[in-house]
Amino acid sequence: MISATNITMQYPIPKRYVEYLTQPFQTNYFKALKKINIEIQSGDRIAFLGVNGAGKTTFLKIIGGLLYPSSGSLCINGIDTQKQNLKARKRVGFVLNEERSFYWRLTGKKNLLFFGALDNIKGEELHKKVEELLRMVGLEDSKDKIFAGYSSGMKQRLAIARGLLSNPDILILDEPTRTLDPLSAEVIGTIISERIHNKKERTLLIATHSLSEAQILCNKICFMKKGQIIDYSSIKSIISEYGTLENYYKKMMNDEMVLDKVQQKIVLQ
Amino acid sequence: MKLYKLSYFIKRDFAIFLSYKMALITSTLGTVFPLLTYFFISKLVPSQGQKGLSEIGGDYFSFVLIGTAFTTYFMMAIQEFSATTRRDQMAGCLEALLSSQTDTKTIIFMSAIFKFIHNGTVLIFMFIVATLFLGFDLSNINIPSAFLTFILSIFVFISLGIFSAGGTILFKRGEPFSIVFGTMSSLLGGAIFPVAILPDYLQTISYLVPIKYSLDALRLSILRGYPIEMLSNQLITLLCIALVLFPLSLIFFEWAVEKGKRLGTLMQY
Repeated sequence: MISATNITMQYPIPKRYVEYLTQPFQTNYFKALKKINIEIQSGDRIAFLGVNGAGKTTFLKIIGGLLYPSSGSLCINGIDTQKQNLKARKRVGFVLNEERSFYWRLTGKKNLLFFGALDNIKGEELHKKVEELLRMVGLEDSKDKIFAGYSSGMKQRLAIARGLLSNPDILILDEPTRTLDPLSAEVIGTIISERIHNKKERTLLIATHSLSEAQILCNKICFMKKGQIIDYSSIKSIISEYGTLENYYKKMMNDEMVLDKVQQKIVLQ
Repeated sequence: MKLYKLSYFIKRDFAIFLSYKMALITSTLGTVFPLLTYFFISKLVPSQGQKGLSEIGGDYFSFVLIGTAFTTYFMMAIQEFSATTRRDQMAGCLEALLSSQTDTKTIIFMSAIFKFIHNGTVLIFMFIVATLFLGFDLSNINIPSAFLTFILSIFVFISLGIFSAGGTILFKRGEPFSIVFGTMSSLLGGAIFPVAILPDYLQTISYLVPIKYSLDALRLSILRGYPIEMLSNQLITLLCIALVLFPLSLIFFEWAVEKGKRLGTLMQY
């Protein structure tokens, strides 16, 4: 179970030149997350929706132990991600959307072997695991090709394989199909739904802008807006209330636009 | 230490190193040309009556070879940890490395190992060329005291290197440690000219520069065959510096990583 309590995250914002002179000791901050409270049960498959800058990636990085919150705490099965960072990280596989996160001059297989060793897998077991994952994501024929020669879809498949190396209880995917064409995105979707989610107790957390991806892969939606969770519901209940995910999304977006207009009016007055 | 992890770091960096063919050629040539330059400069320096050279036999080429070869190696020890951190930040791999199940200190340490091996090979190559072709005399070397001096010095400069890596995480560019020590080492450490020719006040300051003790002890053990007990002043000083700096550097680095994670600036460069 993942339990987040009062998570707040603020980033320092670069100052303008004049501010260095007028407020030399003051740091300006941008609040990326504001008092997030959520409990995620084991085996849940949650799609994090929301516009760019809503706080989805920041929150997922806090779950993955890549960031520490400015205040509040996050526990994975009772393990605090700040106090026992390494122990908590052992539960989590992170599929980064950054295709540069591999070594471009190494082959796909050598990349996976390296990251597998970092995940404490060794010897014959490491080689077997890497071969198995390469087969699972359909890269067994391209395993000895250097990473620089991979297409975007292949890079993303390799990233998924890396996320699964340690057979994690929680798999985090940050916009896994963001840069892909529809066909490649479909392949990734199939890999996730058919081959990754065969482990029923595995929790799947996906930040996405694709509603169809959310509907196919997940059973819950966590809608984020301006650093806050404004809705956390099962897809079933959303469909019964709104008919489609599109309607639900539009409603949430319209609410946001209305809110923005109200705020603009207040500022103008 | 997990040796299988270390072997994967070395394999990774060796494969990447080999993939840059031109770098292989230029790095080999880059070791030979400075040797020749110093060899011909040494012809200008009379071998008798030079302040600071008489203690080591009066040969300027031997003096400058040991000075520059080891200073280059020790400067690499200072700079490599921060360089590897910055390389991974810029390549986009740092996030992937830090989301693995290996702790940050191990990652930074192991990422630098290949460079230590590579530059160590270059160092040996320089001494072989100098001995075979340029008249450098290794016949007096006291191997145990030279080896002990080298190991203690490495601990001192690795500590400074870890401080420097922490500085890179905090300041991104322009971290002060390697700049300060780089400048001080070349001026006050006695790499290219003997400290004895400096004005008295600069000679006093030079006692604060760790590389002075390293180079003094290395020259005396390699060129004059001094045993360990005759180098006790330098070796005890280096030991004390290492005992203080090494744990402090690890604490500082941990603190810098935590600060980077809390401010969300760890991946920025």
